[in-house]
Amino acid sequence: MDLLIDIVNSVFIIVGLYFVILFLMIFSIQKKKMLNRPKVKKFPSISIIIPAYNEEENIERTVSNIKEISYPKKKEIIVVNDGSTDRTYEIAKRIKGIKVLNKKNGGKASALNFGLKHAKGEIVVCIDSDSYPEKNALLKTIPFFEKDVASVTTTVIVKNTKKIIERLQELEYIMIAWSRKILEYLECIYVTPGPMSLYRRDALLEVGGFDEKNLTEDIEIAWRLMKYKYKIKMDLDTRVYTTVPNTIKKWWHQRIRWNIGGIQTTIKYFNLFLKKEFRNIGMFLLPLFSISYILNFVGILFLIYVFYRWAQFYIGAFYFGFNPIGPLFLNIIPDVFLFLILVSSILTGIYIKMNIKTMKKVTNVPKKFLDWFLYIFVYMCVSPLNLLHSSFKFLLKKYEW
Amino acid sequence: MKRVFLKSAILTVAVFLIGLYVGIMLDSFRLEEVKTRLTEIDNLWNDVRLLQQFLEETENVTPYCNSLLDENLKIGDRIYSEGVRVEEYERTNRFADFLLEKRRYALLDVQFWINSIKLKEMCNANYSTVIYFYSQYNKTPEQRFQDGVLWDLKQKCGPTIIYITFPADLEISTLEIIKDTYNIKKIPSILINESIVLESPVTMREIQNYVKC
Repeated sequence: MDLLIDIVNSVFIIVGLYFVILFLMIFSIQKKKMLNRPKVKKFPSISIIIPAYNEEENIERTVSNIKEISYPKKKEIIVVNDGSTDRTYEIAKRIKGIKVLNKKNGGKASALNFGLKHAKGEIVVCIDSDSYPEKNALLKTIPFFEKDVASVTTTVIVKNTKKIIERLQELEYIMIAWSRKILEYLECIYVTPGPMSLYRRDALLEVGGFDEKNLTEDIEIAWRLMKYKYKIKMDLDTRVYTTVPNTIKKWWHQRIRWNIGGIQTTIKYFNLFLKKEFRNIGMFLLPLFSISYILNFVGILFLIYVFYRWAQFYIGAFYFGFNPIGPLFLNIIPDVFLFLILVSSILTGIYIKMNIKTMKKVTNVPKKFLDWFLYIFVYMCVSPLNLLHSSFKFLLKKYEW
Repeated sequence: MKRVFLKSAILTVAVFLIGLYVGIMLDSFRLEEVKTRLTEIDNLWNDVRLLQQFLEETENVTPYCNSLLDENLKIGDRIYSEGVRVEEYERTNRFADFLLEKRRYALLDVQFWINSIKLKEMCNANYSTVIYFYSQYNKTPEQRFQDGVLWDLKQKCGPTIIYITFPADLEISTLEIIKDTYNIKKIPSILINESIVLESPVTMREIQNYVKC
């Protein structure tokens, strides 16, 4: 058992070290270009699609914000009412200068596809109905549409940051944005986030639009575009403000949906595993996702085992009448793993530091020590449990949007 | 950019190998430390043993009983704390071979135990001896409980008990004969005052029925 534990620890450390080193190396090569953007050659026509389901409270504000986005050409704004049971449709209808489409409820992907059918712009911008792009968002992102680029993603920033659960997501989104920019250099952006992503309309139609069966159409479409050899770019310096779940229950539910969507996508494209012609999916994303799933489950089993041993020892201590805080309790003796964990922690610290340094140029990075502490030692540690829950739900087919 | 994957892999392997090297170095340093400490204890022990032997030969033990008992207890404490240290080092050890030192330590323990029995008779001392036969290779949950109980007992009772641990499956012929002599069939087991054998796991309360603490 001890040897098995050592092997598991070694694999964890090697995989963790590899990805931290990889990301840091890419950052060191590209750090001066992180916020660069190409020069604009022309301004294509634009359609903005806002899928809306029961958004009577947000829709008016969202549309008026989108109307204010600067762009030298007229923007086609399409609100797709996805069978709302509230007054979303009526409220949207009253807004001037936009198209409002009505359809039966079929989920976000079906609403996006419906909007796509009616969109006329060369570039289609998909914006969630609770998200607010900055005023120059289009002027900044359009130049990224160079040859073979089918999609451009932006930095998603949390709008509501009063509660601790919201602030933890704020930190997470900051970390994710930076990592996505790093992934751009590997041509491996695995998600075009829902709050705001831009697509070349022809490319979307060519690949067949959004997958209506997938719980995370924004992950699936990114993989499909890559499968069709399209590139996805990340504009780190364009912000879109979004509303995140404000209770643990809602957050948990959202993450289950994300994880199940990720699993669905991984399974859908698993036939590309290690295929060189699909190198970004086959040689990087699929191995990365597969390894992370495997390590996640092994990690949980490992934790259960450790917890079992602890519980057994403490129950034994109580029954046999001895003090469990014995000579070997918390007595840390430096060994090979302590050294490797120390090195990994230092590199992870540098990784976070570099991330914050770059992101400070993009947004206000929170400085609260407690928030960072909780993010690293609680929030990130809970994620594997959510993945486990998601996997059970996926296996039992108990999931819905 | 393509080479970045390879470069990262090389760097990762390099960091991991450095980690292994550091681990090997740490383990061998600790092994050397244990060797040195056991040699020191061996020297101290020889001094006490020879003094006792001399007093026995000259039939002059009784006037020196108190100092002999004191020295014996001091050595006992030193051997015990060294045992705890060896256990700690062994727990984190992955590359060095501690078995030889473990055997040496066990033999030192045997000598100390025999001497303690002898001294107890000669000087009419009132300490209890608690001998713990445990497995070096099969560390079962019940052994972990028993380790905890006996460690706690030693903390509570201090010099009133002489606590000695024997790795029973290290194939040391002396230990095999001791096990036979006291009819120790099951590991882990506890031998109290060379007369009572308790098969583990035994609670603190049960042991305290037999030892003066």
